[in-house]
Amino acid sequence: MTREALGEFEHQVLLGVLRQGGRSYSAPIVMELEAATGRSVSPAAVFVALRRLEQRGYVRSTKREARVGEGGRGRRTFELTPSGRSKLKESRRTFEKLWSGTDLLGDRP
Amino acid sequence: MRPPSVARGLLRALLPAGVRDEAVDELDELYALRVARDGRIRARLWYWRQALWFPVRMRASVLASGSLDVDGRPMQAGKHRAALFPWLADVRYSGRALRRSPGFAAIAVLTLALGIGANTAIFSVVRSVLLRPLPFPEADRLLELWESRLDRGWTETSFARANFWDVRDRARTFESIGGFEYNTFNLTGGEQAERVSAGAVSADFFRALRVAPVLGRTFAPGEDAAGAETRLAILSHALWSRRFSSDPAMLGRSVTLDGESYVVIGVLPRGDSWLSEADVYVPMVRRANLDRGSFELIVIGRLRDGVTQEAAQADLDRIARELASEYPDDRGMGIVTRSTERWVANDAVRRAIWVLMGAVSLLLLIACVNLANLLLARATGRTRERALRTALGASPGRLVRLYLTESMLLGALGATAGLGLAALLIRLLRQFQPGDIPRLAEVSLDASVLAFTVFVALVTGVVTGIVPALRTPYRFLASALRESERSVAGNRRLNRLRGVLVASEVALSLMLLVGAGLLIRSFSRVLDADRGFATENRLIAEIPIPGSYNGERAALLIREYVSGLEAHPQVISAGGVSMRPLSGVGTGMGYGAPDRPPPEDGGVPWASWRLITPTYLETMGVPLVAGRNFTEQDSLSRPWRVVISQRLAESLWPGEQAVGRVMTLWQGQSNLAAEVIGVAADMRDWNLAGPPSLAVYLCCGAGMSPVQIVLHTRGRPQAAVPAMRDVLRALDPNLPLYNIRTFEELVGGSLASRRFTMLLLGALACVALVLAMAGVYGVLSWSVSRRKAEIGMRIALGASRGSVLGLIVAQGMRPVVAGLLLGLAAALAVSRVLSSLLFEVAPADALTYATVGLALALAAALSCYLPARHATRLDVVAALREE
Repeated sequence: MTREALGEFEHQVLLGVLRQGGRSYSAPIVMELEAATGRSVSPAAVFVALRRLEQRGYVRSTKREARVGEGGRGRRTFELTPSGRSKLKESRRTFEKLWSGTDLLGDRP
Repeated sequence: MRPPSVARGLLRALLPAGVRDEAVDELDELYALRVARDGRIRARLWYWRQALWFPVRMRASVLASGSLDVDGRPMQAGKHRAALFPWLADVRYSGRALRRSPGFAAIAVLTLALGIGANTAIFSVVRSVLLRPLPFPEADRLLELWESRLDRGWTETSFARANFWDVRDRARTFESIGGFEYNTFNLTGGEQAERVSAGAVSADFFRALRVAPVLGRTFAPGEDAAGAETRLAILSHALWSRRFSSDPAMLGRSVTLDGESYVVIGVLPRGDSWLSEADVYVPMVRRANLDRGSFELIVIGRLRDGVTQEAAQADLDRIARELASEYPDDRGMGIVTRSTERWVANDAVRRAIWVLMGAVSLLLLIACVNLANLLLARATGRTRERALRTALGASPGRLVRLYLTESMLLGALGATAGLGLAALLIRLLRQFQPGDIPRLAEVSLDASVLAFTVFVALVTGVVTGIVPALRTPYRFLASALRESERSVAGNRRLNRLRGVLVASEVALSLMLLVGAGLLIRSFSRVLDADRGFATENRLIAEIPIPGSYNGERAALLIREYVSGLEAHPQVISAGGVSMRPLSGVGTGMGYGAPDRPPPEDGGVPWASWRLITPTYLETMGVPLVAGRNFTEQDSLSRPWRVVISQRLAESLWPGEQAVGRVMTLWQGQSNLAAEVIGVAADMRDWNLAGPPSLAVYLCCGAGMSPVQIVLHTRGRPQAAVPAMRDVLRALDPNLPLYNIRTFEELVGGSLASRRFTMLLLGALACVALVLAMAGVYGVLSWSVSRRKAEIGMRIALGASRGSVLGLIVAQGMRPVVAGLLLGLAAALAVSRVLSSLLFEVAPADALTYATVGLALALAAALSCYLPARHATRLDVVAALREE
């Protein structure tokens, strides 16, 4: 289990999985990220990032066989692992610590 | 909602199999979502972008992270790349192998770079000079039209005016036929008077070419008719931008040409060869009672759609027959058509370029053979490695691929270095300004040249790699594994193969050397040829006489100018002539003599004529052989008197006195009788690499005067230029003096393309020689290094060092001698392609062959001597112990 920090895009993808209920596949994540960032997101980047996250143990994937009435010939579903959850918690705590007490952007009353 | 199927197919093709289905499914789903969100068109665009981008991005990410397989799974280190790019492992392996032997790699890449670079450079010339089409739409329907008078021996001559208009009116197979007549004007009205070249063209001329002006229009039908408003001008792009700073307001303004005002109606696009020939175009007006006896027009025609050249020829033949029966002047008339290909490059230039292309191909072949030899040596050194791989389960195909990859990698590296070399060579070519090679400024490394280079590199890789790659032992694995590398070197079949390679290398380079030798011999022959005129301290300049001068005034001006120059202390003598020496353009006439029967074949012999001042021959340093020169009292016409060149006199009255006899000028046309008053020594003032001119000199006068002024000066000729200008200014301050050249420059200019071909072929031959000798040396020294033990044994058993030396040199020279014989035979067979480039040297010139063969044999002997000497200095004890 590596302890290195998440890259920004990997972080976003991991959050995308979380927002999809902790279990999703890449197309909805792409749409989710596009909606959140307001920018076009490359499906290839998400595709690769998910597999890299899996390699680092933050998500695990299962490949379901195709079923009638469901699109796809065997969609790979990614699920947050406990290690992925704690990584997200950890990075959120880090960011909150760093933000607290600052008023750099002038958006605190 | 289905995504675009082509893009989807592309995507499937580009993705690795392991991720294909998943990725395509995902993109399909995203596509459906996007159609709903952004609309169908934007979604399709998006899908196309993904189809191209997804595979690239995925491979790039996987490579960068370096630890995922095609299924996105973590993998054992080192395997993923092989899975994504099956050939990548081979490339990496070859790269490592090359890095381990940097000397070999450097020599191989350099060899290929020379071959590929030279090919790329010359191919880029071939492409822009010979292959790129004319810049006119459907240029294959354009034809040149020429008159012929086979009864007078004229196979191709310009059109007479009246005949041009008749052909234009009567032709049925042509969409349009246009005529062009070369002219010059004095352009005034700016800061400085300027001589501009001009084309008088019929209204259909630009229509036939289908040239669209960038501004305004071209001539309309009827604007060449008699009585129409014809003071119209079309500017070339070059003149428009140079003289009028590309001012769009020039349209409708007037320019002053020879003192008359012409309205500008159009500007032509940036010119290619044909269009840039003239600075300004004016209408060629059709007048009644035009001449049928003087041939001045260049005629082009555009065939009607679907008409073949044969049909057009039949049509033209019919017209020629009609005209011949209607007009006495047109008796014997024919019309011939020529392809417009030679507008860009004439036949001589085309042939020279193809010869160079052939030469660089030979060079590349030599480079390939050389590299194949090196690779073979390497492969032999790796026999055990191959045997081991095979024993461990590598299939023969896999091994061939591995070794081919190495040669392809070398090919790719060589091509990259070769491109750099080619860019350099092209820059050098442009700087060198090789005479009359057209479009040189356009020569560049464009996409098709790059494609050519890639193709050459691929072929090179396969050709050089295939022989060593196929030499993998499958059957005698055990013995190959046991054998020491040294004993493999004794393999006879292998040695024979390497000998064949060396022999072919020697043969190829001998062919190139013979070609270069023949050109060098021709060049020195041209330089040594008796020009007949002197070049030391000689200068020539041209005075453009404007149309506002009448004949009398022009004659007076020239006479005063010449005598003014002669009075100048820097000038020894000055003269005028109508034809610039070595310019490649001139005037000609048919000739004969009343007391000589006309030639039996009915053809009329042809001589060039020029109008001269009485001082011209003296100024050129041409002595009179017999008779007298013109004096101030002689004049052009009645009684007609001529001075003729010695060769002409010999052709009319061989071995007899010519002075005092009567000859016929313009035989077959105006048939003027003229008395020969003098015979001048011959000169090669038309072409240095040809026979001396057959020349008729006519005395200026009667309103006809030459405009080329020749000067023989005291001291440097350039120093007399200010004096020339001063004297002219005193006579008429508005007259420019232009085209000033020393005679050295004239001679140099006329030899430029010959010198260029010679130098280039010579340089290629030298490179070829070096490559071939490197091959000879390499093979022998490799063989010596493998035979150390044997040689050591011989020396230990009492062989003298001299006999060892002889043994090894003899072994090395055997393929060389075979190659020499083969090369001499091949050179004899193909040197005929050079014959048009040669001068007074036969393609089978024995001296050249002997010299080149000997030089090559000596160079080869030296290349053999070095490794042989190395062998004799062996440490015998060490060599024997090694085994």
